[in-house]
Amino acid sequence: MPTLNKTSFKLFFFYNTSIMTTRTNEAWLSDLRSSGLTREAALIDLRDTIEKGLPYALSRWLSSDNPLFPPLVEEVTQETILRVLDQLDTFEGRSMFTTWVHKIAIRIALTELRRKRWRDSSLDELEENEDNPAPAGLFADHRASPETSAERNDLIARVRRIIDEELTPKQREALVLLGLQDMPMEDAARKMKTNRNALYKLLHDARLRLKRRLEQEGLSPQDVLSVFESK
Amino acid sequence: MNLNTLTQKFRNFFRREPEMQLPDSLVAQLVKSLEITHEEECACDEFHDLIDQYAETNIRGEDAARLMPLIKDHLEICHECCEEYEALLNVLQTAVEKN
Repeated sequence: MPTLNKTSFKLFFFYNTSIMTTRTNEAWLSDLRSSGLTREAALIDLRDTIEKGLPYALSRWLSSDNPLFPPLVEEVTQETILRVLDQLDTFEGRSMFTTWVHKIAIRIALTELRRKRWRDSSLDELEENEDNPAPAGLFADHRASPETSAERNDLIARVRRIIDEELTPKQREALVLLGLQDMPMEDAARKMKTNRNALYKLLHDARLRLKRRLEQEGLSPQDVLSVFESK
Repeated sequence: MNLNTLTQKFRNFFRREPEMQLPDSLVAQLVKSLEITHEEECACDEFHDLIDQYAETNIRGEDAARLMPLIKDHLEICHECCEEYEALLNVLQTAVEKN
């Protein structure tokens, strides 16, 4: 099967437009694995499928009227087609082929949009924090009585001690990057020289450790949260 | 230099930089997440493998959360995967409406 790189991709689609054909899953697989005009037609329909879906997929992120939208769609479409062709053998037919394609496109698009949004907001925050003090913590309640505050502070200190004792340095780092710096998972994973999946498992382990430790100390998450929400 | 001073210098040499304290809001967020933490959870790759199936099951009106509980649980925990799922639902629901 002839390979498709980004250069030949652009040339190919520049000279071809389509009237989309409705295909079964089997037809998609067969046509994309074939050669000649059949494959060309399938690739064109694949491109159209992706391009038609992206405005709806990204409607909460980027308006299709935004000048940044067309280049993003082009980049995501290219990348999606390459990834679909590369992973064709992994399609198991548990959903419609087009649904499978859309999810690949969405993963690529949102990864890029999150990275861009984080980088833009990181620069903004650097400027803002110079002028504005950090907001008060969630549990800062100046109306609370001294006794309630003391009880709340004791419990916070106890929970913090548990966190310090249970979390590994890597888990703490992941928590700071994701929870405090609001870094996208892909970027945090890259910074920590791992991948998104492993990062999720790292934090899952952290949550399990904390949950078990709280249980050992006779505390449930609700116990902790309710003390601080009480007036 | 006396022994106490020497001992203190020795300790200071090996003392780690104090870690930044986690803000209250992050501690609260972490504790809240424990309410929906399960022994068995699927990670992002497994979620991604099954999200198309999960979405179509929901579109058909079936109880995807009951049929695929690990996927449902992951949606509650992982904000980014939840965003991807909602985007996919948007596409599928639009396709259904147009047809």
